[in-house]
Amino acid sequence: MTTRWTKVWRDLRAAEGRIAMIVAALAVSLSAVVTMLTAFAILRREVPHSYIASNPASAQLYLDTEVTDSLLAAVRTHPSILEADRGTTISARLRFASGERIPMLLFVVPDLATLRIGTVHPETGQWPGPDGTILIERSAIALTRAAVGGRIDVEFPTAGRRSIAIAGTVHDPGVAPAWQEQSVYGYVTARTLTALGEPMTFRQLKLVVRDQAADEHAIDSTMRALAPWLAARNAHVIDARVPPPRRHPHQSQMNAVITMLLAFSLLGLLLGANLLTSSANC
Amino acid sequence: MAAPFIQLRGVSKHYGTTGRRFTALHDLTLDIGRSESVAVVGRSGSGKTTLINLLTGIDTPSSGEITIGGQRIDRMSQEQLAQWRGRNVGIVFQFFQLLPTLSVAENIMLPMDFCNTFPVAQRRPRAMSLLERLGIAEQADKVPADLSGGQQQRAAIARALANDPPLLVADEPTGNLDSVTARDVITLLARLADSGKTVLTVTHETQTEETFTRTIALADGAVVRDSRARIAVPT
Repeated sequence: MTTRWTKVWRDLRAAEGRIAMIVAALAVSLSAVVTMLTAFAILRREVPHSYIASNPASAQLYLDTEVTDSLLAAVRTHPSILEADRGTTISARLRFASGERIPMLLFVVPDLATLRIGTVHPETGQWPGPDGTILIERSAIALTRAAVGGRIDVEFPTAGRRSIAIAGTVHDPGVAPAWQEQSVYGYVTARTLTALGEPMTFRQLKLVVRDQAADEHAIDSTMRALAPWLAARNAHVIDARVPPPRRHPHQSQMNAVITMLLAFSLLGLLLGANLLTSSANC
Repeated sequence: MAAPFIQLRGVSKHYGTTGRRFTALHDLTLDIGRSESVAVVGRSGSGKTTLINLLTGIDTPSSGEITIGGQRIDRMSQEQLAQWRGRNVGIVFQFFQLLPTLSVAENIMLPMDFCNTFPVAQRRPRAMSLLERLGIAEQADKVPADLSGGQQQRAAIARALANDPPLLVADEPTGNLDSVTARDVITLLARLADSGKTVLTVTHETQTEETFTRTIALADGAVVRDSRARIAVPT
């Protein structure tokens, strides 16, 4: 061994504890960087893929009247519309035995098994589940403090507190993780909701446009053209929402969080490397 | 007649910006021959350390020419200066600057390793020879912390001589030593000129004429006295 390497070896031996800490810091930060880069690569590929596979709505129209079977059938024949479906959402609260409550968002559809837009995939338990039961988004099941087959207490806006059985869990690619939002996502049919005493009507029209489905302005134009067509059928649009086309609603947040974590891991790696160089007794 | 080993021509060194400029050396012209042992004396702030830094290539002049051994070091890049310094200059510091994790012999072998001046097999014998010459061969395998101040400074001188440089520069080498040890070290440095080295020593010692062949006194960045010894260096 030449003298310079003898010096390096002795310097390392002279500060074993410190070097061990530096090596550990470098290993941890390097693992973090690799993990973040891998997560970034996977999520950038899989999240959009999974989201698009759920056939997300190009637009959601809120009408002043119920989306009846006949109106829905008529919309599905409209030349600019590729697919149409109806549904509604209800804001409720999940109540625990302790009296504590957390927000709950209920997605109400005619039939979970025949969803055409914004489809969800069964994960565990029964699918689509018998009437009178609820399906919970997989990321929200931990928040319910209950298991599949168990019961939860839900406070509805009109019907009040009702106990309902969890039939199973589903994966909804179109929502943010429940732990992030601190909100439980539930999926019920209209029959279940009616049986629980909560009044509802389907006033939400979910649409997928036939042409230029990735162009927000084209979708907007299509919706503007569709509004008088609906009005001619006594259905007036009171609100319209056009989300960024084919883009997960939380993609930007996810990218920002991962980029921030990646930056922190790189910073950790940089600090570890700086510690190493400053520890070398030149 | 051979050119002086060290030539300074109109060398100035300024620090700071134009508005707050401090002149450390002012239009210095100086010749130093081979085998001269030169003491550089002066008060704090007189320009001694600046002069040493310029002669070792650690710093570059604001203006003027510096030629050492026929090479214009003021024109060299930092990389060229580092290479030139490794083979041509030995530096002795006030606080020794020996590497604490290496033995005394290894401290001397390290410059030979960095500059690749001697084959690997010759490095240890050369280090031992230098330590023998400086009278501390028995300390070769000890770490610097086990040596006295005087022994550490001798080890530092041996390290400065490792690559057999023609120029040896010592910046206040006795500042950290007791008076008796300081005298020994000064004498040792001065005698190295007998073996062909040019030795420049910045010192606060007052009786330099007794030891060095030449004394250059600086004040406010200029030479105020340049005297030759009248008494031969004792051998």
